[in-house]
Amino acid sequence: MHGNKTISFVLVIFAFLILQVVISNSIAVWGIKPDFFLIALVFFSLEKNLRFGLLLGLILGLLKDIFSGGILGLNAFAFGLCGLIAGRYAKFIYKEGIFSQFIIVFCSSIFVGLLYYLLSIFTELPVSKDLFKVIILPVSAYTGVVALPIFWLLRRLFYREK
Amino acid sequence: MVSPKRVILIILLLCLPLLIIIIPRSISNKAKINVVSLLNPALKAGSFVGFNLKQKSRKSQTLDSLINERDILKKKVADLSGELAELKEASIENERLRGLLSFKKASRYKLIPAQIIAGDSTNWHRTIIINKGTEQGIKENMPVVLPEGLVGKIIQVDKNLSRVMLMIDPNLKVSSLVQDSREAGIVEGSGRPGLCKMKYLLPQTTARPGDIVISSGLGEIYPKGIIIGRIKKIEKDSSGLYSYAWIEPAVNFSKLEEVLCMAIKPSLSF
Repeated sequence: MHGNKTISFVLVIFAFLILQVVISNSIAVWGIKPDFFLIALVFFSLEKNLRFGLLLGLILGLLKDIFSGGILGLNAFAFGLCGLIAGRYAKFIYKEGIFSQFIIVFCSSIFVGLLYYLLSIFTELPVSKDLFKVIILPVSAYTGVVALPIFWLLRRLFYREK
Repeated sequence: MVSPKRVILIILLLCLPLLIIIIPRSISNKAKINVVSLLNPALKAGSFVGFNLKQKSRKSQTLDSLINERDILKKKVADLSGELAELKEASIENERLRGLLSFKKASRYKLIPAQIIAGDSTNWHRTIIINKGTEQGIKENMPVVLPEGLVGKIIQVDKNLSRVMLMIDPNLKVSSLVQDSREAGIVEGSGRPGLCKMKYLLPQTTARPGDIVISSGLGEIYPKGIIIGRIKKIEKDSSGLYSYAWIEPAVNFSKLEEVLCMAIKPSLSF
């Protein structure tokens, strides 16, 4: 990724930040917002490699922590690990079909959600049995659906020659 | 095959966030709000773009519905609809601001109006960022209200912006009272979008669905008598030691645009 592509990449990440903290509130359904940062992380990690996935995960996770009322570092860890795994197994994952893209994002969101929850019960959030049903599951489904047009758009922006 | 050096580097990088987690909250919060401050112009630009997108989508919906009309009429109606949408938006905003103003005049506390410029980036926490900070008199732990009721409290402050923790955040706890039965309890966010939980009611509580819950004034942050919401349902805790109530907040958190920060001194809270 050089020159113009690096600039476009930084601009896209910036656009995702605005989408996450400003726009996502207006498209929330029953108070549930899609995770735009996770969509960007999964897309770029699957296209790149382990190292890129880890670094992007740490950066996006840290940004997410900064713009949240939670503890700094929780999302950075969860996103870092998710980016690492996505980058590591990118070669073995079929990511062309709509259904597989939905499943990849859905599973990544479940993984990040569970990891965040496990980490946060030791630090701040009150333990509640129904958070999986009330937050993790609907967020993952919504993020999976929103990811489909974004994946298509990002592929056209960055990997048209493929 | 990944070399051992790279494995160590990866492990170190992954451990970095775990080290950040143990930084004292006061320091990390300060750092967080400073970074948000740096990105404030971009957030404002983003809010503006978001607002315009909303307006445009409204206009395009109007145009879609007129697609079968005659060309001239279609154009006229589209123009008028656009104008109407703008006027309606202005009138709604006017009404909202008028409501805030009359509430501000009637209140015995100094109220600082603020606009919301961003929301929380996660679904776990319910916080918002407002465009007023220390320079406008905002301080940490100030209650944030609307004429309808309690919104939350200020948790981080910078020069020109602050972060508000909303009533529906699981980490916000408010000492409260059921207005009719005078039973005391603690209201906190439930994690469920749009619902709070009032804990520690008596096992044989006399509170009923529909009862109004207000702040009790204990704790020196929220003055007594601010409406929190209405009881939706009462259930018994599994331990049997107390009952709890699901509260529907008086404020509609999905439609927040402006809020009022309440400048009170601890001595005034009783």
